Amino acid sequence: MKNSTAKVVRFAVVGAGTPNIATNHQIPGTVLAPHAHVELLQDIAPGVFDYAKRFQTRATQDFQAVLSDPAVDAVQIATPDQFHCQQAVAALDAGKAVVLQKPPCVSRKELDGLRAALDRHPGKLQILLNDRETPLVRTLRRALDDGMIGQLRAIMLRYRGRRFPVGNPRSFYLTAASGGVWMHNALHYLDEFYALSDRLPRITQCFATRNPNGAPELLGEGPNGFSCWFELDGIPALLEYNTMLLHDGLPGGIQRVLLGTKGELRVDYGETRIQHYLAGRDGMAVLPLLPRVYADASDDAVDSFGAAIEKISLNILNGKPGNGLAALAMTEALLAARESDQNNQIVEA
Amino acid sequence: MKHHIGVIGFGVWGCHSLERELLATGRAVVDKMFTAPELGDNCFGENLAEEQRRYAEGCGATVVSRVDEIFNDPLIDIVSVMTAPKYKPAMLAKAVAHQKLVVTDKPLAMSAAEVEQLAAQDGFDPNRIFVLAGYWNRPGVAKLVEAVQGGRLGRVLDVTVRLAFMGGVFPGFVPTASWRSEIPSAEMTTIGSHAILTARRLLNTEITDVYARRRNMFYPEYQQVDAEDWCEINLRCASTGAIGNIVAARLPHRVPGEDITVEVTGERGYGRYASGKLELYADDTGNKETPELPNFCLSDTFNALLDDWESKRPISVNFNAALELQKTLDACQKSADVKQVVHVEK
Repeated sequence: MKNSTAKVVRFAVVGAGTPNIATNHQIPGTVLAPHAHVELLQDIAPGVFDYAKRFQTRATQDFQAVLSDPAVDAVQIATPDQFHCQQAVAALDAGKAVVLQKPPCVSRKELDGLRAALDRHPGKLQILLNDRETPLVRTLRRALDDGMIGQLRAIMLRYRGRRFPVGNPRSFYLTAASGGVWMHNALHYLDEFYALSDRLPRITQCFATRNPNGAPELLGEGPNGFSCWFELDGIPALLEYNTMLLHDGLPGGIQRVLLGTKGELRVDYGETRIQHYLAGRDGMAVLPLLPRVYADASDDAVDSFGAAIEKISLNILNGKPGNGLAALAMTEALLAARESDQNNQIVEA
Repeated sequence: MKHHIGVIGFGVWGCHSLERELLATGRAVVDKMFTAPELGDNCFGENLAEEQRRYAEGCGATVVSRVDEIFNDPLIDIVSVMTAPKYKPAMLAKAVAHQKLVVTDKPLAMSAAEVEQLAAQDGFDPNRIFVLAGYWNRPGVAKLVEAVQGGRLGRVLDVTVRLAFMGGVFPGFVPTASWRSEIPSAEMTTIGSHAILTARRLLNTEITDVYARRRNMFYPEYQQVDAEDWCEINLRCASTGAIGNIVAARLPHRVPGEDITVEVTGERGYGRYASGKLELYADDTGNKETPELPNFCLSDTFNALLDDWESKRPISVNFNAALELQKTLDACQKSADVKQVVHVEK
């Protein structure tokens, strides 16, 4: 619930003119966050004015107008991936705090550019990674903090299914330059590793493959199956990102496994039920999920975006740097995974 | 036809599933037993002679003082070689030279080079060696292998295997430095071999590249003798482009009902065997099949072995499969040592 006297961050949301993650989840989440305010929406698509009406705010189609608007403290960039880096650098250089959807960039060159911009504007860049704020991941973290499996020893996250369909055959998302679904989505899972272990990946080893037997809107260029081991300072983390189940009717979902010195936490494919196994105890217990952060959130996604935006807002208000450097390190690990596969060797960060 | 078994290496591993399961077929008896300290460290209790005597009594066998008494006995047609891998090649060579059928567990030796030396011996018959390795014969896994080999999943692209021995250190087992020196690696060999061989059957082609790490995660007694209780492996098959990963570990806890967990993704479908249940989506249809699976019985494997042997058919996990496994293990070991991707030697 908003407190009308609280100090808030006034956000512009860039990329808010069509039905997408921003308009479906991110802006509703920002509306929920007590220390955030939606000041302005921007998109080249005229639909941005309809969304402005819905969220009772202003709109523009001009990105430069966002950067020069003195009422805007920070810019949430929710445009397609190929614009993330350049718009983030422009916004940082315009003096705005920047909140960037994942992935922050799609190449080493862009990563270098972002790091340089962050050097010029320390602490001004944060990446919007909301998966860590879902009830499921927060409950897992709580269980680890409570010592329910002893010391964390290994993490395994397996995704099986297929990518989001891309109807436009000329879409950037289908090109090799985009990094494919790996660069688009996998940062969420590395951030889960980070959220659960407090450790960043230092070594990456990856093998990748490709299932070509599918509809064009599910394929794109490049690999669509990845088996990657990340070394989190002594904790191995497996990310198996298998988007090769292309035929209608094949299953989907994520399996999460946390192994500790005393037991295991497991969430099986397609479930949110957390199974808890403990050494010396027969059978399995089920851990209850923590409640949503916002009771009035319409769904877990909106809730998690709201929780992430609130933390980001508090960082901005309190002059804290947030996750910018860490998120860029994780992005480097994703790029390293692709290089590891291509060069058939590990890549150290 | 009744088969007669000679057991070599009592006490090295404490359990004797090979001859026990052979006995369970009702088609074999144990005639003679032999062990000696030079066949491997005894990790299960102090009074080996007494334990051996009691075991022999239980199955009506005689304890012999020289191993040649087993090799030279014309009645004995099966030799169970349960020595430590370091001492195994010599026993395998002798048994094969004496025209015995050898049953043993994995691995055959400390390295693939030793196994190749064995193969190079005059008159060596690879079809005389049966290696108990892999979970390929679990009914759910066997169905998956059948689907793969029948082309129902199309070209295999990805195989995932999780295999954990659960509930802590094996009861009564005391890891020692000499035990560790007699095996190529600890659980990467003991548990990992099963997982590698299973993955290999599902990949349906040779593994060409591996990345492996060995770790001490859970047990100080393993750590004290530099024995890993965990390994993680990434696999690639250059000929098909398939990839895979394996987790093999000895976990402190138990997951009830869990055996091996396997997932296979192919161009034309997907299959998963977990908690004793198989889900199969084959033939590019997207339709889910959940076949009824018979109970698994290890003695069925040995019945099949005896059937193959008596009918002079190739046996299911033979010397060549074990050699390929050993080459993959060598590569995993090297990868773990150098912390880099390693090519599996042809």
